[in-house]
Amino acid sequence: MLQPNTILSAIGIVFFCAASVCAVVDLLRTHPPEKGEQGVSLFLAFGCVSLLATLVLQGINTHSIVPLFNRFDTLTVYVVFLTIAALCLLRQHRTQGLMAILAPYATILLIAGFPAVNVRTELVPPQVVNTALFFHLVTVFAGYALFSLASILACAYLVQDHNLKYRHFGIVFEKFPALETLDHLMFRMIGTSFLLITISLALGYYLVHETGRMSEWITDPKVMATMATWTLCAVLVHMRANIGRHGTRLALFTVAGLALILFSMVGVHLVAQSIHNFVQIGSTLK
Amino acid sequence: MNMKISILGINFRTAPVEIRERASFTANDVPDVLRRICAEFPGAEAVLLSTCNRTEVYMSGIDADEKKQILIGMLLKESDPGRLAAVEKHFYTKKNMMATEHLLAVAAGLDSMVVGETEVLGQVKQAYMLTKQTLISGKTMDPLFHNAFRIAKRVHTETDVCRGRVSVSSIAVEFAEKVFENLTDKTVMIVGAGETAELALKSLIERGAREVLVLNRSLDKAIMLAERYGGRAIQFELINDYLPRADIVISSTSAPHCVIHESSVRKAMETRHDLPLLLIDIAVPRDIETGVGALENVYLYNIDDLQRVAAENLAKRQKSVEKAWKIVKEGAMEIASVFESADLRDMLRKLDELGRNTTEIVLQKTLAKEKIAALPEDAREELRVVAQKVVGKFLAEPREALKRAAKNGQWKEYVKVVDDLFQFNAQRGPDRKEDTQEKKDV
Repeated sequence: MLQPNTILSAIGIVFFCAASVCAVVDLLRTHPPEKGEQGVSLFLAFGCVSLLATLVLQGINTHSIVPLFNRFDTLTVYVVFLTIAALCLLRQHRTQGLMAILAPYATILLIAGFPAVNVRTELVPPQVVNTALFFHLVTVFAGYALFSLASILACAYLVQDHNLKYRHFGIVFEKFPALETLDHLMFRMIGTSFLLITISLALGYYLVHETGRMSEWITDPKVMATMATWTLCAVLVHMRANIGRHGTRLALFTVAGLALILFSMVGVHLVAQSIHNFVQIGSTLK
Repeated sequence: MNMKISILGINFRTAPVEIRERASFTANDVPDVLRRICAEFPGAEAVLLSTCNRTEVYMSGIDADEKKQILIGMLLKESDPGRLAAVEKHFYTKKNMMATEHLLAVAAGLDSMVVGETEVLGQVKQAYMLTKQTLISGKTMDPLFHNAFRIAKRVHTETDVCRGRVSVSSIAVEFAEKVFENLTDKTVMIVGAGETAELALKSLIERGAREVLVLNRSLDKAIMLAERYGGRAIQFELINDYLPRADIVISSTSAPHCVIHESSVRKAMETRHDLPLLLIDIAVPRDIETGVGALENVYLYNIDDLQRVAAENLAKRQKSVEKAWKIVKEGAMEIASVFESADLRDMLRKLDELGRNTTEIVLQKTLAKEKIAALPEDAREELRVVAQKVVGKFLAEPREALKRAAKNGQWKEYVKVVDDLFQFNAQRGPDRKEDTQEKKDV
């Protein structure tokens, strides 16, 4: 029999699928469809609500205050943060064309995480279950989400640059924002994500102290991957704020950052053993 | 309230500019002209639209065909019959359905020189507002224009008829807006002093471009152009020094060779830290080396690129014209039905009155007869009810038929028959004549 969290997460994924279809159709439609934009935002909002409800249920089932310990939870929290950030951005700027990149990307991640929805989780060491852990997780996921949003903006920048260079003045050219808008937003997102990841790393350092396993954590592949992301963030912020660099090369680096984030969130567990891996593969929740 | 709308007008298709400029009015002149028309034709409503390409008077309560010469005289302030006759051929008149369709087409930009231009809708709105201020619009012009604005917007949103820019200068601005978020902190450099470059510069300044640098072989010409647009004239030889400062470069010199080289743009981009640079080369032969376009974060367009986009946009607009006209025709029918529904109510009221009056006359004659007068009161009352029911039943089908006709667009044919059958002709004579005339027009 299907469990409630499975049903809720499936509903969430269906909403994201609907949002993806709507967003792509909107992007390719000739006229600017206000109703279509609202439809995408609504589907994404409903999808987020379903996914959050799933996470709450996961938390109740595992008696955990922060249910972030398997692939599904990790990707779901990341997608929820990313979607909320994108919806906030959409309210402030006319960036609706970007939803055609974001919604399918988020949907693919959710589908990839879905098989792990009921994988049993192992709780983190009790001495680190505190407010610092909560903020460590919130800041790192918010940082990842904002950097990913910057990467999506960078993708749009590269597409728009290609359109302008090779004179492809079609629907996508019309609907995507101006290069400068994308460049400004990209920098804002990278700057904020740099700040959040820095806070998260500092909190992580504090938590490591609490467990007394300093040497193990420092050499942990997940920590190293996150450090690499942070370094890339720092380089991008420096290039933009101190050297004043702009343009396609910066956008390419930002897109590369997305790969780094995905690796540090999910990929690292596939290629190496990490202390961050709290998942006991194979057993499911009763 | 039958739709009695007529138009007298002159436009770029029917008259040369020498005639059009005589019938051109500023917003300040319009109220006077409207007052003169309404003083000449009391009870009439009129809206005067005057743009660089057309002058049209939309009227209700005036037959533009019959009063054509008087109206032309008022527009041109001309009273000599000979001179009026000479210009009369440039003016056109349209009535009722044709007039409504024409107004909708004008408001939607379908009758404009550049199909789909949206500026004319604002001008039609302004013309209507001027009439409102002069208190010369009313029960015909108000619904007509409100519906016209609604239908014009429908044409703009439901078709591609006004999508995409079609002039070289506006396309240059469109490119600038796709590269830069806003132009208020941007520097525009004009190299040469060509007419198209100046038009593009004007559009960029209208969108808030902050600084203008003008470079020309002749410094005097550069100074003149710079003064016109609040810019700075720069000696042509300093082009490479100023290139890094420019965000948008529009080049239109008559030089037989390139004046902006790849090496200088590459150097400028280093100074700019890869901030995007938009270069528009309108000159033939080209002013900017083609290799410049391959540089990172540099966007170079030549006259062919701009003209190709203009042609594509125009073709897209032309494709949508048929669909736009369909909406216009539907809209004209909708407006006609607005007026016809008022006519329907009027006609049904007349039929009811006719039925009641006829029953009353016959009843009075019948009840006055001795045999009937002797009947008890309840029997006489019964007789009255029966008579009213018979007439009611008799008129029920014509009433329904009229309602159906109004719905199905057959109103004109039916109303004529009903007029003839029930002898309402006396009141509706002029309408019939008008309708016949309109059929001839069609």
